Amino acid sequence: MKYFFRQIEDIPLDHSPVSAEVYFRGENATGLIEKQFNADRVAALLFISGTPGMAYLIEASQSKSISLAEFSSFADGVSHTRAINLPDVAGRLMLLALESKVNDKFTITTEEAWDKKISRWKQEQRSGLVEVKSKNLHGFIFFWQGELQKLDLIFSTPQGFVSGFPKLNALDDSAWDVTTYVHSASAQAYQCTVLRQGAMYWCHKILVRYQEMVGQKLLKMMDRELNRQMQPWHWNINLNENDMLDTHFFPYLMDEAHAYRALFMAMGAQMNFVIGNNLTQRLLSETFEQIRPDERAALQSQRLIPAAFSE
Amino acid sequence: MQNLNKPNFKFTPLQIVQISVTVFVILLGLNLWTFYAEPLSKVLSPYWNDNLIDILVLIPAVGAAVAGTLLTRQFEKGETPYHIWQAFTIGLWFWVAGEIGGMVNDALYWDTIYPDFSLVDMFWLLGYFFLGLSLYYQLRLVYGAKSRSRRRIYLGLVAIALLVSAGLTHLAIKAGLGEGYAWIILFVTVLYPVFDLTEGATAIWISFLFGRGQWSRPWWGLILFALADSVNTFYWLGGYGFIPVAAQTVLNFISVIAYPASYMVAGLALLSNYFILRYGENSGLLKVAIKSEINKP
Repeated sequence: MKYFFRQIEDIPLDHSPVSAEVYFRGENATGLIEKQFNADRVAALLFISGTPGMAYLIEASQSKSISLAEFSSFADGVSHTRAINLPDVAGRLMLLALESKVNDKFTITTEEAWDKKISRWKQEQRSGLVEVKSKNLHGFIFFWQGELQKLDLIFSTPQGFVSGFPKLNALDDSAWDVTTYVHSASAQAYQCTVLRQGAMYWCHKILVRYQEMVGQKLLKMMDRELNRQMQPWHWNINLNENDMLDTHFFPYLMDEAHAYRALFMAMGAQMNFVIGNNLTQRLLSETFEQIRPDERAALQSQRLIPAAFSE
Repeated sequence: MQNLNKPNFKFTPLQIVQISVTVFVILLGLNLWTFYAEPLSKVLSPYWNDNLIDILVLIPAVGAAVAGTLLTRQFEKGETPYHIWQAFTIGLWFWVAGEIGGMVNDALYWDTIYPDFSLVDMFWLLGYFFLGLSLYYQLRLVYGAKSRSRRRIYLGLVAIALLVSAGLTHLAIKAGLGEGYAWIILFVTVLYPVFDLTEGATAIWISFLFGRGQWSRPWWGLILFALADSVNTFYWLGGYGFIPVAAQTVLNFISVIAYPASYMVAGLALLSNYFILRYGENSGLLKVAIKSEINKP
């Protein structure tokens, strides 16, 4: 039985993990190789941009990290091997789920019940991953401070991956099986998520303030220039008006911090040219103070601080 | 790409800025020559020599006001920078009107007595008002509209400028200066250097805030205005009587250079900023992109 994103068609290979590896490496693709033992036991290997990332063994809904060698050695008892391509967002949310513990499981049967649940999470300012599974749907949604994160939302449907929020009745589903996760602060996937939230929020605040000071044209000019500079890195990070849209799958904190550092440095240099060093420093510091303490701590731990980005 | 077309004229924006710099340097040279050698005084009359100097100042003044107008039009009306540069440009146009008014006054009153208060004074004062307003908008933007204390500081400065002017006027009357003139006339006479000092100091403050940023450069023009006017004020106050002739010559030279240079600096900065906004990377004025390139993988 397929475990993750079962609505997505397998890559037409010969069901051999080796062929799948060759495919992912050749395509520099992000994807998943699943070795199924039975309905309750499955091994999963994540490929990230053509490189084998991490492997997990999932038994009775609990995941355990295993070595790549261990994953490769699984052959006996494997009933089916499948490989699917994954969008970066699906990859990073799946990794977060695999590195987290199940908190709660329940079933949703009506739209009203779902809306009520979301309102409650909003009230509680809940942060965490939510997994939704049904006959025609499987996906993840990440909530941060009670808010659904539009960039961290992905579902597999018979039509493929969608990044919009589906309606319960739209896909002829009568019920959703919902799993909520609790995250360990030491888990790398969670640290990456917090860092991303912090960087995106800080970036948004910087860009809004910069626009106030110099107008929309210069802001767009800076967006365009930074997007151009980031292009060779093939990061799925895009500056759009006063938002930084990060849909890249960084499995390691160091890589993610490196990308943000490069981005903030280039941004600092651009702003320096227009509004000068003092104001750039001031703008970065003022906006940094507006970030939530946990996000700020995540940024500080990677030395992503105002002083690092102005001359 | 909206408003970021490639420049379709014969020269690139960078070349236009470079040509403008060359023209301004030539104008400055001509200005100095006309002031010191007085070529037209010998050929025609001092009136025509004075008129030539006025024209040599008027050219960069109009240039700066035109550049300011072009820059202002690059912003949406709701944007804060629009208000800053609109006020700055209006101020410059009033000063252009002041320059022209001064020439008209020269034509009307060269051989008689100039009026105590004329339309020219109105133009200068309105110019100060709008330039001050642009400084205020800029400071408010930098410190954030929510920062009431900073706004209070600025408004306080304006109030102090007015109070100091009133106080100095009172002292001048007590000292017997300006006998026979109305209080308001003396007040306005004192107001000029006080405004110069206030706006010059604020422009320096903003320049320090902006550092070497491209957007600080139009304010450098105001600093030069303050410098040129402070020399004139020193002269009017009789300061020349206390310094040696060599120092007087240096001050005269500074004043003759700084006054037209202030329009030139402001104009060139406004023109550069206009080109950057209008043509972006194609202007050739954005060198930072090359320097700050994110290291390639």
